Amino acid sequence: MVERRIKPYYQQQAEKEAREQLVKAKRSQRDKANRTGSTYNPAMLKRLYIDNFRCFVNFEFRPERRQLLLGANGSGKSSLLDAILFVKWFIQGEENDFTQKTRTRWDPRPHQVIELEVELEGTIFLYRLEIHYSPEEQLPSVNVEKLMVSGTPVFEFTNGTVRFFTQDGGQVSNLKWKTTESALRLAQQSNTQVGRFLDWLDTVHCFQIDPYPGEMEERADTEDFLPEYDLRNLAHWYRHLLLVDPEGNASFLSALKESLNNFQTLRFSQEDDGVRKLRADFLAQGKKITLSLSELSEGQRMLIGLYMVLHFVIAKGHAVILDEPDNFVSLREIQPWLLAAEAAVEDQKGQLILISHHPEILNQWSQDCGLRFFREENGHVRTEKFKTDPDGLLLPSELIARGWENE
Amino acid sequence: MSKPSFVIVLAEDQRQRQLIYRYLRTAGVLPAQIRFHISPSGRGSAEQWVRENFVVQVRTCRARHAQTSLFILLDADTNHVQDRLDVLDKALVSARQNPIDRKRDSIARLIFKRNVETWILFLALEETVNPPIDEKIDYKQTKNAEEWSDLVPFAARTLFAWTKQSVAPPANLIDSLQRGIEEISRAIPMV
Repeated sequence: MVERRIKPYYQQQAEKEAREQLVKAKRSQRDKANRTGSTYNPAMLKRLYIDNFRCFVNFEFRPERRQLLLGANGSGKSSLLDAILFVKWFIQGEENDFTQKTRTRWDPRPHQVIELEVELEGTIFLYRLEIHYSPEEQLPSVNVEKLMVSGTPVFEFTNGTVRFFTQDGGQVSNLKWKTTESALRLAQQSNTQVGRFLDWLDTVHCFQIDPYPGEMEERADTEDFLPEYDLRNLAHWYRHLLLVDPEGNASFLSALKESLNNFQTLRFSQEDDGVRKLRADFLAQGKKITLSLSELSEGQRMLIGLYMVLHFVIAKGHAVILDEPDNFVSLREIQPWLLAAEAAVEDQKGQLILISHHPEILNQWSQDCGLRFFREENGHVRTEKFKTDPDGLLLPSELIARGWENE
Repeated sequence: MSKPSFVIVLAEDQRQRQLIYRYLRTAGVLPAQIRFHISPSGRGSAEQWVRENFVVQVRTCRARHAQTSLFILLDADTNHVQDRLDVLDKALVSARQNPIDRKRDSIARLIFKRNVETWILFLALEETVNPPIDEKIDYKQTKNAEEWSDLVPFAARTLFAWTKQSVAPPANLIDSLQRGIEEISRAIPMV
C-alpha cells in the first residue's frame, strides 16, 4: 500500500529550493525583460539578414530556439550555414571566404550585406557587414562594418576608418584600417559590449560533420580549444575537453555506451613516434578490443561526433547549426540523439538549428519548428512555416516525399 | 512485471512528449528504449490520429515477446476522462481486438484533464498555486512555451516520485492525475 505522508516527497527541501531559485531567477530576468520590452532569453540569434549572397536576395531568417530547415536540394539550406560560418570566420580574423563567386549570379549590384541580430540577456545587438565587389579586383573590400547595441553604435568602420565609441555612445577616437579584414576585435578594449558580442560569437557553432577516415584525424599531437566545422580535429578537441570538462566527459561516455554496441570507452594511446592517437575500446566475444578512430565505421565516428556536439556544445547552452546530422547514422540511433538534444536545448536555453531530409527528423520536428526553404524558377530563396497535412493523416516525411508540402 | 525493454509512446503534441520523455528518463529508461510517435496534425484532429494508431500499436505490442510498454497520451479537453477511455476501448473492439487486460497488457492510457498543462502545473507548482488547480480550467495560455518547458523537469520528477509508490501524492490530487498514476504504475512498476 502507498504510505500517506503529511509532507510529500516532492516538497523535500532541495527540490523546493531548486524550484524557488528557478522561479526567482526567471522573475528577475522577466522583470528586466519587461523594462527593455523584450523576452528574457539569455542568448539567442534572433535574426539573420542576407542580401546578394549565393541564392539569397533581401533574405530574412528569424530562427526559433529549435528550428528545422527543410526543403529540396539546392534550396539554400546549407548556404545559410555557410553565410553564418563565413561571417564568423571573417570577424574572428581566421579567413575571408567572401569572394566574387559568393555573389548572387543574376544580381548586378556590387554590394553584399550580412546582418546578425542577437539578443543577449534582453539586449539587442545588431552586427552589419557590407562588402563591395569591384569588377577589377578579385578580393572584395569592406564598405561598412558596424555593431549597434539597442540602436546605439558601439563600433563603426566606414570609408577605411574605424570609429570607437564609449559605453554611453560618445565617440572616442578614429583609426585608419584596411578594408580587407574585420576591425571589430580592435574595439573590444574600448567598449565591453563589443566583447559581449564576440564572446557570444564564440558560442555559435556550425557543423557539417565529415566522418570519412581521411578527414577525421585520430592523431592528437596538440589540444584544440574549439571544434572545426567538420570535426576533422575531433581528437585534438577531445584532448582539450578531457582536461577542462571531466563532468561533461562522463555524461558523453555514458551516452556513447548507450548508443554504440559494446562500446567501453575512448582513450588516447601513446604511439612509438610519441604522438597520441584516439582509440575506442569495445567488448568483443567477452574480450576487450581496441580500435583506432580510423578503424571505426563512418556511422560510429558520426555518432561519436554527434554526442560530442551534444554534451560539449549544445548542453552548454551554445547555438548550433548542424547540417544533416543523420548522415551515416542508423535509424535506431536518430531519435534518441534528437530527444536528448531537445532536452539539452530546453534545459540550457541554447539554440539548435538542424538541416535535414531524414524522415525521422522531419516527422519529429517539422510540425512545431519546421521552416521550408524553396526557390521559384531557381530564383532567390524564400521560406514558409511547414504546413502539416490538413487532414492529419500523412506524416510530414510522406507529405514531402509526395511533393505535397507546398499545396 | 519488470522494467520494460522498450516503451512506445503515442502523443498528440510536443508538450506531452516533453513530460513523458523526462518522466521515462527519470525512471531510468534509456533513450534508445523509448520510441515516440507524435501526431502529424495539431491539437483537435490529433486525438483521432492517436486513437487510430493506438489500435495498431496495441496489436503490434501484443504480438511481441519482448517486454514492451505502450503509453497513450491524450488531452481530455472538455470531455470526461472516462469518455476518452471508452472511445479507446470501442476502437479496440471495432478492430476485433480484446479490451485492455489490466493484468497482462503493459498499457498506460494517460488522459490529461483538462490538458497536459494542467498536470504540469499541478506536478510542478501545486503547493504554490492559489486557488487550487482545477481540471475544468484551461491553463494553457497562462504561460509561454518556454515557461512551460522550464516546469516540465520538475513535473516529471514529481510524477516519478508519486508513481514510484514509496511516497504519496497530496490529498487534493486531481482525478485525472490520480488515474494516470495508477495507469503508469500498472504499465511500468517502478518499485
